[in-house]
Amino acid sequence: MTLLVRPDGRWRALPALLIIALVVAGVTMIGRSLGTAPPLVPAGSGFSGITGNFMAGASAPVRVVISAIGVDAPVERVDVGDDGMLQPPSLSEAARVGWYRRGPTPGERGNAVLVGHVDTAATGPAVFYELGRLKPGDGVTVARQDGSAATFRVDSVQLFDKTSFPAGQVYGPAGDARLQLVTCGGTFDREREGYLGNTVVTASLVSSTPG
Amino acid sequence: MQTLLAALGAVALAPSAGPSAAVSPDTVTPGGPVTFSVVCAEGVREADVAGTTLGLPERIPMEPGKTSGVFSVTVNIPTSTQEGTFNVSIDCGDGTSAVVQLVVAPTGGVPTGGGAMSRPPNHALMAAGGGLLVIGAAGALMLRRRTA
Repeated sequence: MTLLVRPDGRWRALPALLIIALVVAGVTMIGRSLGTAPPLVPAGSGFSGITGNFMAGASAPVRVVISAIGVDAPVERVDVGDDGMLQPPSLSEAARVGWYRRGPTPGERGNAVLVGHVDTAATGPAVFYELGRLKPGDGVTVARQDGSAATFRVDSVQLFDKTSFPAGQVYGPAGDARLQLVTCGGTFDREREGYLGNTVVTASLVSSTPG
Repeated sequence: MQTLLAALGAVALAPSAGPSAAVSPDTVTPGGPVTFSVVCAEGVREADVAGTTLGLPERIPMEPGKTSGVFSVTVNIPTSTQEGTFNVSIDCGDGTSAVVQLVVAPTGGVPTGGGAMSRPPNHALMAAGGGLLVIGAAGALMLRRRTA
């Protein structure tokens, strides 16, 4: 025990530091052992969209800007795969956003769907990592191929289990121009290598600029 | 009296707004069921759904409801139907028709994550951390005894 205390009864610095280091390491390990998840989403708010508000022509989206969460990303076309599920851009292009080409273009009447990854195993946070932080009222602007732009305002931010994905809300017919932004959320299932939920942000057209 | 009859005749002969039709749900995934319904003019005996675009028979006969002129039919959208938006024509026996919009949507959610930013609790690491805390506490107790 003379290793721990000096002959005069005072603590030796080295063992005391060692104990502090042990405690810090222990707390850190416990902290890191508690899982993490992408940003949580607040409870959804109701729709406040204006009805009958849409742009006249169809034009594919080329870029999406969401300044509230620092997104300024190119948009590519995506389609359903052989399994009948919507295929987002490949994980190696996780900075890109995909537009569901069988639905309306952003600004047209109906639900335009944009999908993006929340993260990738290799590179960490992806283009829509912060999507769940959006709040009702935040703006989303989509630049279209014809030079026009459509600006939407967020109505709701919701998290759904993938087994109860709201197909009607996301893909269904709508009287006005809406945007549905979709990414992954909730718990990550190691065995199925996928998230169990989808974060869905619904926005309504508030203004547009001609091409 | 003559004018009243003429007026009634004019109303009856005037082109009406046409049948009103609906589809429920208006969004379906391939393989799922939808119900088409229509209100034709009173007295119409039959109505059918034009199913070709959906990969269904060209004419799907609808079943008459309790009220004259009302028809409905439930069908399953084939699993082979390509996703997209379909304008489906519903035709009444008197030659009038209405169009309903049906969205055939992708199945399920969207696979949009690789999982780098999500980790489940690591119980081994938690236990190791707890062990270090115990050792640290024991060491501190020993030091206190010596100094006391």
